[in-house]
Amino acid sequence: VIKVKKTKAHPIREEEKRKPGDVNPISGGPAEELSQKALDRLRTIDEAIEKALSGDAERFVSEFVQQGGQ
Amino acid sequence: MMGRFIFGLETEYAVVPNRSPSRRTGPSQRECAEKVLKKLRDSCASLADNRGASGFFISNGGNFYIDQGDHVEYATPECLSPLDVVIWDKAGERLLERACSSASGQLAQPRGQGAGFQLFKNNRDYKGSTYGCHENYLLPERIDFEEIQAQLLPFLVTRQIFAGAGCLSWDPKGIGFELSQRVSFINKVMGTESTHNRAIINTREESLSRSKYRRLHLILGDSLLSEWATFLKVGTTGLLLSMLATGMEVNGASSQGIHLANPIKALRETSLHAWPGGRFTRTQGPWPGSLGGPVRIQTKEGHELTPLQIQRYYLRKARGFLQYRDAPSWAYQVVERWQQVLDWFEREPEHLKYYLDAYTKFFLFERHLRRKGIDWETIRPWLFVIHNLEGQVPPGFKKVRPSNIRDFLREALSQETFEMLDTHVRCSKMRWQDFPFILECFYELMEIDIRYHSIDRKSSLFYELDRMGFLKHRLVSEQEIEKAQNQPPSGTRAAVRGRFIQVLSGQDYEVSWTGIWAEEGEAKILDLSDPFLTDVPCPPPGLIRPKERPASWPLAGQAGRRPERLPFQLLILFGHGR
Repeated sequence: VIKVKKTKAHPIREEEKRKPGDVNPISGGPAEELSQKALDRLRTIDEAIEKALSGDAERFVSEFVQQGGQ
Repeated sequence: MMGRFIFGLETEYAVVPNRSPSRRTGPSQRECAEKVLKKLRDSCASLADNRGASGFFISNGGNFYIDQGDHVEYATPECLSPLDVVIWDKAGERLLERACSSASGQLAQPRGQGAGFQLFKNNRDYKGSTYGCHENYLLPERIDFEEIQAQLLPFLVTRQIFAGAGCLSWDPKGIGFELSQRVSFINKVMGTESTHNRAIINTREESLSRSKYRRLHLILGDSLLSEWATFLKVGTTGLLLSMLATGMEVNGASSQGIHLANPIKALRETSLHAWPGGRFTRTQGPWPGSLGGPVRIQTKEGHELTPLQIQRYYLRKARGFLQYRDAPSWAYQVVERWQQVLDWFEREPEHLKYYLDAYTKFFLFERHLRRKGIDWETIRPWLFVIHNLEGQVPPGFKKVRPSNIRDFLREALSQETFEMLDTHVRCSKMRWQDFPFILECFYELMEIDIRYHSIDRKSSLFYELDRMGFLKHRLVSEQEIEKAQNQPPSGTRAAVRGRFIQVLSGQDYEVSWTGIWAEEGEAKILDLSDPFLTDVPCPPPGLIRPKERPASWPLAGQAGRRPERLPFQLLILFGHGR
């Protein structure tokens, strides 16, 4: 059984502490050496998320009400 | 000879009417579901489902109907491989996308207020309701549910690390990411119910085939959009079951095997904490490091195992099966991909987001939080406020300037409630003016989760990522999916059913999973209780009366009688699925 040491660091903060070349589990690239191409792709994804959002998320979620199924 | 094995999937889709912001009116969920099915039936070769209600079978051998809770349900035809399940599952999704787009246009709101309704392939709303994606596996009758439990339970509990759809998870104490949408609605190990008290192993006795077979009906799985994830979910489960069917053991008895001390606790903890983005609580901190993660599943033997270790245990057994001639032809593909995702999970988790739904969604959540300049820990202290204001955020809240929020809430809430919340905000060193922004981010995470699952490829977040080439989940081509929309898979009775429907469509016949019925005389003209039946001559066009049926068509004596129709309520009670 592999023992995992508990730590209070947040994964994102932990990620920020990584050294150059370490793998970043969030962005998928080396922590501090993302290429321009990777940055452009992340920007495109951010835009896609923004485009998908309705602008009134609370209303959207409150109207997404289903009856229980099987 | 390689073993033959039959699979199928049933998916309930959420139907969501778009309502005009000003009028808050619009079509009901039931109305929309009926419109979709009518549009679909008008555009496909089909015959009515002989269980009555609203259902029908189409020429690809699959079944559409409206299930409990007014969800549109699609059941794939019987398939011989996990890849076929992926193809025919996607075929149903595309058919519904097209029908929804067409039917929705008819219900569109005036003055360009958007389409009439949308369909989502997910398993929950954020109000406490769930709807399923059920799996079906054909087994020899001699394998009973107790044996399935003893052999497969640890696998089923932990397979969510690659078969989860992912969702936001929160309570007043913590917020974060959960791997499975469905497991919080599973609360026992074995049972027959599917609308409440749902079990990991459903013990409904309904083989829908000859008596020598048993159908394992699993209701704990998530609805998935990733082809890799669907392939792995049904492929790994099917492979272990096919090992059982050939008489092999997949989990050793006593100390040689794995037997969970508390399967339901293990199921929930795996969903919440097997991943470092798992829900953060006050007592359990976040867990960077190995994605084998902090979850330790207790076994009856006194061991503590991670979900990854349990999956590796089953993977080793499955790899050993490859050398046997009884191994299905698709077994190698399953084992290789299974190994791949477990290796990634352990060593290169950054790859998972390109292949599996849960991790793609987690990535989207993280991106959104980053872009907003906050993280999970920023939201966490506000959960107490959100929880206590849920459902009673005063009208006009959104129009108040952030700097005036505190004064507004002091006026709008009872003194006791306001003082409780204000004390919490002060003690947590938070500022009331940040609350509207945090609340907006909180709901946006939920909206991202839901939008991910839209089956409309123009608006779905999943398909947007797919279109931009971010995802690498594809296993089948769009041509194969297109073809599967009107052609059945080969090698099972679905091929016969599909051929008959193609020829007899529009006539007065009815179909079930086990036969075809002539309305006149109420007699079965074709028996399909043999799931592997394929050798039936194609029917001639035109109406075939029971007496005119060719002698070469199988017809079981007992099965020739048409079952009495059940009222709709009873169908729900007994389960309308396969």
